[in-house]
Order: sequence, then structure tokens, then C-alpha cells
Amino acid sequence: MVRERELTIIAQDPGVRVHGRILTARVRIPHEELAAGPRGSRVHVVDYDSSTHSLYRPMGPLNGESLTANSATGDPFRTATSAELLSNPHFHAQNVYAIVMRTLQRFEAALGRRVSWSFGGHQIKVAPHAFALANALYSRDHEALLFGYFPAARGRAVVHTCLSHDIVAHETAHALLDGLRERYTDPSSPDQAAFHEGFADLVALLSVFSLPEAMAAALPRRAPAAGWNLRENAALGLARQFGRELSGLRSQALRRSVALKPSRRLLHQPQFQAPHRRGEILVAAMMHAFLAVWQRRVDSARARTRTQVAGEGACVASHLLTMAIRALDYAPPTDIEFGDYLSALLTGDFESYPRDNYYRFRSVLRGSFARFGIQPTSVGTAEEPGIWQRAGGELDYRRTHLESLQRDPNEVFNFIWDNRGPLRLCEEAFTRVQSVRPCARLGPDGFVLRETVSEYVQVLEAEAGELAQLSAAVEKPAEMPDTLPVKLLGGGALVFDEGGRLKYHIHNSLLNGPRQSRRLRHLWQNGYFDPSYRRGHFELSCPWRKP
Amino acid sequence: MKPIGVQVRMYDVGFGDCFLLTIQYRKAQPRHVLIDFGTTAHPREREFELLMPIAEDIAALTAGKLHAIVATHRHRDHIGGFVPTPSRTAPGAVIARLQPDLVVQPWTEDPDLPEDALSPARSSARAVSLLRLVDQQAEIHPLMRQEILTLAQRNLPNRAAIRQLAGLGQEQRYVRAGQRSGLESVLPGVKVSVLGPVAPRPRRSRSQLRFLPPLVADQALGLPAAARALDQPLFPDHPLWRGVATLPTRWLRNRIHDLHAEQILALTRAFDADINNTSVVLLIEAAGQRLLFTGDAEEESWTAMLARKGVAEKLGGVHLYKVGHHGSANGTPEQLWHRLPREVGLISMLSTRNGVHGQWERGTEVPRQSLVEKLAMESHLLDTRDLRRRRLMSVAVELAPGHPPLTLME
Repeated sequence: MVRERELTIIAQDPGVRVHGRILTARVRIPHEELAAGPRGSRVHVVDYDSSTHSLYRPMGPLNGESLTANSATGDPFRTATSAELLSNPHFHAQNVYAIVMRTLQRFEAALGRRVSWSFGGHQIKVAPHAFALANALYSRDHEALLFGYFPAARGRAVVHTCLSHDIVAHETAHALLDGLRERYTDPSSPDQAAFHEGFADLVALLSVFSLPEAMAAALPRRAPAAGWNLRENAALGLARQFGRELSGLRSQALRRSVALKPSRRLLHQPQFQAPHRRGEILVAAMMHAFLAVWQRRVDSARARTRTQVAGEGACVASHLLTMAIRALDYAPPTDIEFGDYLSALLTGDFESYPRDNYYRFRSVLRGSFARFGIQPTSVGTAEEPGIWQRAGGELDYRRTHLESLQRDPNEVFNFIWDNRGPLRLCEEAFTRVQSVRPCARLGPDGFVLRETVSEYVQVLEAEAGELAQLSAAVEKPAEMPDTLPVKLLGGGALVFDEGGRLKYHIHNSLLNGPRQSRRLRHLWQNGYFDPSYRRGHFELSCPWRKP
Repeated sequence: MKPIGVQVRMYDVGFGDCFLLTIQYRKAQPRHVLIDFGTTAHPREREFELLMPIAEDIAALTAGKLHAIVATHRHRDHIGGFVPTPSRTAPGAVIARLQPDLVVQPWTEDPDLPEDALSPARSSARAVSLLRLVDQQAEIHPLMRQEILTLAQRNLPNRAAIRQLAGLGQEQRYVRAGQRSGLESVLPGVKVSVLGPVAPRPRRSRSQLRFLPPLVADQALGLPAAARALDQPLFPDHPLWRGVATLPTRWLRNRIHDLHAEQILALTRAFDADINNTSVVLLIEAAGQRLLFTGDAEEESWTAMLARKGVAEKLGGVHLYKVGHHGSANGTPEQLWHRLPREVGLISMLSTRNGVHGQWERGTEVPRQSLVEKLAMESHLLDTRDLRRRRLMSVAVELAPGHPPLTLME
């Protein structure tokens, strides 16, 4: 049985060319029986252009046509010219389909289970030419990823956002993160708003970097005489490659993050309070770590040629991408801050590699984040600073059934209810188990590691004047009217081991007074209590949405 | 010559601004400054009917002589009335005959501005493109279409008004924050601080005050693509798809149109805000009174203004506040309102009209109801909508040291 399919995609964007040809890559994605679109079990490409009211005839079997080797089962664009790639909407459809599927596959592989979209349906709709506007966006309400097109800065060419690998991966990452952590779009702290952007940028950049073709294109053709100094030889080349056609339109996360000088004060500066800019700090911390590990690998492997160096870079990027995604299972489901994410990164990697001997990723990450003023939320242990503490306390498992605990939200809720004291839940709040996800990962000993990951959320609605009476002693801002309805959120991720015992309880407690007070103050000061505040979509660059 | 009092007269121009500032002296004739003269959301003939009596009232009150005009920014609801056509009897012609000595405008209107200056000069032209875009999209919801059209029309090129203003007055000043306005020379004993617009500095513009860079704006709008879209599809050689097989795509197709419309509305708002944020903001001090004229400056403009040294402190002593941007939520941001001395009898003057901009359901209505309630609770609010209900043309406030404010409705 065929399990995989290889498809041609544009490695980065059409502006990146080698010998005058657009740089392409062939990526492996899961094989499936496609219908016209392409329309598979998770992705449905609809090539409708609302600016011209045109629905293009899709690739794939239509009106009883049979699949041929040169259509949806094969790779019809394997030998296509650059001009054909640009001018054939079927390739554009294939490009978005393959990149969305590849990103989804990376998430599922890293997490060891199927990943759902946030909107409940199974197929996300993707429109590669949705409108003549320079934007791309993910919309939960519309269950879709929409990509715009616009005239190039010079000449008569049209720039298609659907042909930029990082843009497609960025928007897909928003959609996937939204499915895994739906509360991350709630108004919270500056960090939470920035996290969605920063994380999507990380996934986009590391997706591109994990293609050796894209890495090689950014490196000088000949090895530098003084040896490879990747910060000089590669980082700037990569940064230049990004956004060549989209100058000024995308967040330019890489270009800015490479140029961002590490400083512990950045997080407090006014210009880094806007989500896109603040997200760059997270990206910068990861990119500095990426460069450091890459350099270490190149030095220790004595990599000389461009191909070798690019291959090492793609390996590091691939590992970091898996780390970045896996960390989500170890991140609190509400009110995430950068320090929480760092602890989640370290814990996720620790679970897979208890000894940090694989190029000392964790040590490098701790150092890199610290230089940008990000400290892990958890103290960790003497051997492993920063990882989350193991779940402790006397937990009651007497009424918990292992089999049921691995898939039934009601069973998990039973467990939570029985242990609401040791788990420090707020009894006045409404509690809901959002999901229960059994997952299987390859453990450090080579055996399959089966865990169950579940998230619960607590919501408490009260009037601002009542907050002081809570045991959490939440302080409202002085000017906030007493009668104003406010909503407090808390929640936790529960990681159960193979025996159904709680391994980690990673939570932001609703009863954390200082944190809740900080959140309310931030929201009040930034106008989130004004009825005109609306949650938007995740847009590529928001060039016309002012910070 | 020391001023002994000031009078601020607010005219009901519908959705627009028109203020006549009069400085009174003990032994000299009063001096007059007209701050904005425009309206919008009316047919041209109705504009004439509305503005003509106001122009004649201004001519009568100033005894045929205006000392200065301040045109805060280029939106039609602020400068549309200056157009001197179609005849010499047009409201704009009446104002022109008052022979102002000085015309003050924002730096962005300076005809000698370098072409590559980071200014929103092309926003008006973009409004035309937006109107064309909206025209193409039959599927846009009528309420959203109306909102886009109203906003875009406010931004349509005001060439006649702009040309007229450039030719008025013996002296033209194009000002930015921190510069001298020139008003002191025509208003003896009066101190005028230009608080805005804060001009973006080339290297730090994004952290200060952001205009859409021209390239970004045109690309965002996809101008050539949109223009071509009127005629043919993006891939003209590629067959289109029709028939029952397309049924699975229909749900999304309808929703893409909604999202497209939302994007166009967001763009229109951004262009509109670009121009609003060029508003000349003046703090005028005369006879111990401080008056704050804000034009349509929006929140980010206030962020930039308040970041300047000494500005926040000056606002603590304001006696009269011209409510920003017709009472929209972002025209009076919290950071501004909390700096105004609301507890000591602040007077707020609001020139607005219901049902022109925004939607109540979306919390974007202008004037914003919650803001109006706050203004009424925490200051003495004068509102042109009250004038309309009483069929009055204007309301004036007289301020003089040692006397309580006097309000005159006419």
C-alpha cells in the first residue's frame, strides 16, 4: 500500500532562484485518495477568487475522469518550468495543499497523535487566490486559510502569497495552534497575544529551514577560507531570502530577529508591546539557539561543503521544530507567558531525551532565552533547571478507571473533581475538560511511550467589586467600576503516564492573585473592556491594522 | 494688548466641524479665527443650504474680517466648506472675502513637501480605488457597504478646497508639533502651542506615528490587480468551473466575500486614520483660559503627542476641550481623558451627528454612546445634536477670568 506521496513545492518563495529557476523542493506527505480540489481528508482547496468572481476548474478527478499518474496521484509539476509554476493555478493549489499537509504531519508526528482543527470540522478550506489584497489569514469562523494576491513592487507581475512557503506554514500553524489551545486567542497578557504570532513564525521559519534545498541556497557556494561562521555566512543570507517579494508586508520575523541585539530590557520597551513585535523576541531567542547548535554541529562534524553544512542546518531545524511543537502539550492551556513556554520546551525535550547530550539543546535554549530576558517559569531541578515540577501531593485514584481515563473527558473530570483540593482548583468556578488525547511517542529507550494528555479550563464570572472577596485576592484596577462584569480564566494540562498516574500538572491557577491582577490591569489599560474590542483573524502582516 | 476673554462658537454643520474662536480685548477690536469649515454625508445642494447661513453668520460676527483660518486636516467634513464654487455666492466665497491674514494647515499639506516624504498624501487617491473595489463587490452586506462608502467619500480628493486654502491668506503656515503656528502674530497676547501632528522621524516613524508607507498601501489594495479584475480573471487562459460539482465549494465562496469586505473596510479605516492623524492640534492660552482644539486626532496620534515632553502637564489646566473626532471612541482615548481636569468644570464641545459612521451593534458608532455618557457626567457637555433638536445654528461659550462660563445658544 502506498503510504506517502511526493509533491513539488516552492522551497521558499518565487523570489528565491538558483540559476534563474525558482528553487523548488519535493516533500513527502501522507498519501490519501484525493478528490477534485485537491480535497483530502483534512484539507480542501477551493480556488475561488472573490475579486473576479472566478472559480477555477480544480486539479484532480472531475466528472468521472479517472486519476492518472500525471494528476492527483503523481506529481504533475516535477519537471515544470518556473513560468509554468507561476502561471498554473493547479500548481498553486498543489503548493498550498502540500505545505498545509506537511505542517499538519509535523504536528501529528511531534505530538504522537491526530491533531484536530479548532472549528470541529475535519477539512480546513484553503483558498489560494481568495482576493486581490496583500494579505493572508486564518479564520476560525470561516474554517479557512485565505491567501491574497497583489501586484509586485516592480513590473507587471503578480505576487501570490500562496506561493510563499513560510506564509502558508505560518497561517497553518495559527490554525493548528488554535485547535490545540483555543484559549490562546483570549485577551490576556502581552505575551499571550504575541505567542500566537511568534509561534506561527517559528513554525514557518523552521519548516523552511528543514528543507536542505532552502538552506543551501542561502549559503555561499564555496566554503569560506576562515571556516564556517554561520552567523555571518548563513543568518543574513537566510534573512535576505525571506520577504524578497513581500518587502514591508510581512512581519519580517527572521530579518528582524537576526538583527535583534539580545537584551533583557526588550520585553519592557513600548515598541515590543504590540503582538507582532513582541513575538519577534520569542523568534529571536529560538533563532539564536538554532544558530548556536548549528554552529556546534558543523564544527564537531567537520562539515566542509555547502551541502554538508546545509544538511546539518536542516537537521537542527527539524529537531527544533519538533521541540517547539511538542512543547505545546506541556504548556498551560490559558494565559501563556514566554517563561511558561520555555519551561514547556525544556520539559518536552527532557521527556524525550533525559540526558541533554544531543548537542545540549536545552542548555543552549536556556542561555539564549535568558539573554532576551526570558526565564523559565519553573525553577526545575538541580540537574535540569527550568523543567516543570512533577505532580506531587496525595492524589486519589480510587474512582478512576484507567481505560476510560485515556479517552473520556467525563472520566478525567471525575479525577479532577475528586482531587480538586490537591490540584488547587477554584471551587466557585465553572470547570470543563476540553480534551483527552492519548498519544504515543518514541521514548529515549526506543520503546513507544504512551501518555495521555488532557486539558481543563476554569472560568469564573464576577463583578469587579467582588474580586477582593475571593480567596485569590485579585485586585481590580482602581478606575474600574465595581459593577463591571469580568471573567477570570485558569486551567491546566494534565499529563498521565502509561499507568494512568498523573505525571505533570501544568497550570495557571485561577487562584493566582498576582497573575490575575496583572492580567486585569493590562486588559483594562488596553481597552479590552470596551465593547468595540473585537477579536480579529490571524493575518499575515496586518499592514493596515495599526498596533 | 492683553486679552480679557475668549469666546468659542460651535456651529451645527451636521457631521463636520466649524468653530469660530474670538479673542476679546479691552481697548481693541476682537480678533477671529475660524477653525475648520466642512460637512459631509449630504448631497452638494444640501451642503450649500446648510453652510451658507453659517458663512453669512461668520461674516456678520467678524464684521468682514477673519484674522486666521486653521484647517486641521484635509477631510471633507473639515475643509469642504472652503470651496468657492459654484458661484461667488458659495459659502467658500463668503469666507474668502473675509481676507484672513494667516492660514494654518498640517505639515503634510505643504506643497513643497518632498515627494518621498513619509506622508499619507495619496490616501485620498486611494479612496477612489476603494470605491471602485466596493462597486465590484455586489455581495458586500449593505450595512458594511454603507460604512465603507461613507468613510471613503470623506477621503475623496478635495482638490478644490485644498487649492482654495493654498491661495487664501497673506501667510501660509504648515505646522507640526513643537513649531510656532504664527497665530501669536495675529492674536496679540495669546500663546499657542502646536501639539500635533507629530511628524514621523524617518528612522523612528514606526515607533512614533505610523502612516501606511505608500508602496504597502498600494500593494495592500492591489490597485493594478483590482483594476484588471474589472475586466478579466486572474488566470484568463484557465477554464472556470461551473455546475453541480461545485456545490462543496459554495459555503466557503459566500464567506470569502464577507471576509473580503471586512478587509476592505479595515483598509478604508486605516486610510481614514492616516489623514485624521495629520490633524493640527492646538492648545490656545488666552485671558487665563486654556482651550484644546483637537481636529480628528486618533489614539495613536495622542500616544505620540503625549510622549512629548511637557504635553501631559499642559493638559492638566485645560478649560475647554473640543471633543476629538466627532465623539468616536478613539478620538478621546483614556490616556487623554484622564489628563483633562474633569473635576473643575471642564467644558466639552462635541460636533457630531448620529448614524453617519460605525454601527452600534459592533460598538463602532460615532459618537460612541459610552463616551458621550462619560462626557456628560464628568464635564459640561455642549452637543450639536441638541442644537438640531432646538433648531438652532450655534452655541457659544464665553470664558473670562473671574467669571463663570457663559453659554449662548442662537
